[in-house]
Amino acid sequence: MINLLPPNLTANKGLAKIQKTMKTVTLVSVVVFIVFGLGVLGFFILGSLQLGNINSRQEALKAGIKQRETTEQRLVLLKDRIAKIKVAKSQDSSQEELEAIDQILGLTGEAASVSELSFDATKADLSLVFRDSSQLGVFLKALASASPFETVILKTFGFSPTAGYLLGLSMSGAKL
Amino acid sequence: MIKDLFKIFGPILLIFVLSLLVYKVGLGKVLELRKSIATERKNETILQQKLDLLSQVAEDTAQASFSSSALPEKNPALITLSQLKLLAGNSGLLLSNIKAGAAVKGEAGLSSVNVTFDVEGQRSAVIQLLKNISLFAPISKVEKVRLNEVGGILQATVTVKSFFADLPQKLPAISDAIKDLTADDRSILREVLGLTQPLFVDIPPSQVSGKEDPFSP
Repeated sequence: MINLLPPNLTANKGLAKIQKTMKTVTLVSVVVFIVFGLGVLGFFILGSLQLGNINSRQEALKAGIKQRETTEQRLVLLKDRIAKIKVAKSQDSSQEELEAIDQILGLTGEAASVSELSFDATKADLSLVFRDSSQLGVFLKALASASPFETVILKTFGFSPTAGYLLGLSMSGAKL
Repeated sequence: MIKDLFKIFGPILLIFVLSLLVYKVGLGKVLELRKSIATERKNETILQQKLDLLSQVAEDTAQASFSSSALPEKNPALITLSQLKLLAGNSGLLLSNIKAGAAVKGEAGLSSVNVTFDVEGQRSAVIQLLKNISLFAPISKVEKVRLNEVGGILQATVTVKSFFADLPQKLPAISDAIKDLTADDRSILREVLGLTQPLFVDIPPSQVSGKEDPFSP
């Protein structure tokens, strides 16, 4: 082939090479851009559809929950009451002391009368009057072998010819 | 020369700017969307669990009224009094000097009221009465006892503490998760169901008796 162009109009060889390379690079970039753009668009469309589906399912679930609103109210109430009942139950009470006192009074039977008894959640003070010493002995032996309290202190011990033997006990730490 | 350079690098520069724009805006939107999907999926699971739970616990929640009588909303002094009188009557005991103290606000929204009374009767009957106090609704505890025995008759001054608490103020939001009753909760519920229920929970206001218009014929 004969080049008829004047030499001053002939393209620079280096520039032509760069131009050619850039054309290829641009083409590849356009393809990559289109693929990337379509990918992003696809993801966006799919994601939007998915979100729409989830939202419609959620609406159905919310309607179902709304229908069971009474049950929910009752459950919330029940849980609230139970939580507070637990707190009430955890508070100190003299129930254990009462059981222990009942056990002690069971040991005396009819042999003694309760001169005075007071108890709360922490301790119990008991005064008993025994008519005869043998019953008192039986009671003390039984108390020593199976006391329902951790600590039993003999506070007073007396005798009156009219009433009998007076026994004052201070007890704490019911074991029941 | 500049025209040539623009011709060579212009398209690639344009593609680069467009790519940057798509990357910044498009990818940002997609990531945001994915985050929303993940959150909504989580919410959907919560709602599904809530719905399943509400379908299952319908039977348990029917007993909510029992828990309300065990721990009423209002001061239960009168209900406690009624229960004590019933207990005493059943055991042939006599109650006197009945007094109710002021309500006391305690921990965790729990309030209490002390009811003090004197009781007289056989030793075993009085002890049984004291034991039975923990078996009726509203939940009550024997706080303090002072007693003596004269001629085979026991005279006791008893302080009973009864509990009450305000009702929950609001329901959780529809999308908030709720938990099922635990084994411990169920055991408390069983105990509550076993309590002797009061004869009344609310005291209705007295009705207007007679004619509405006293001047009508």
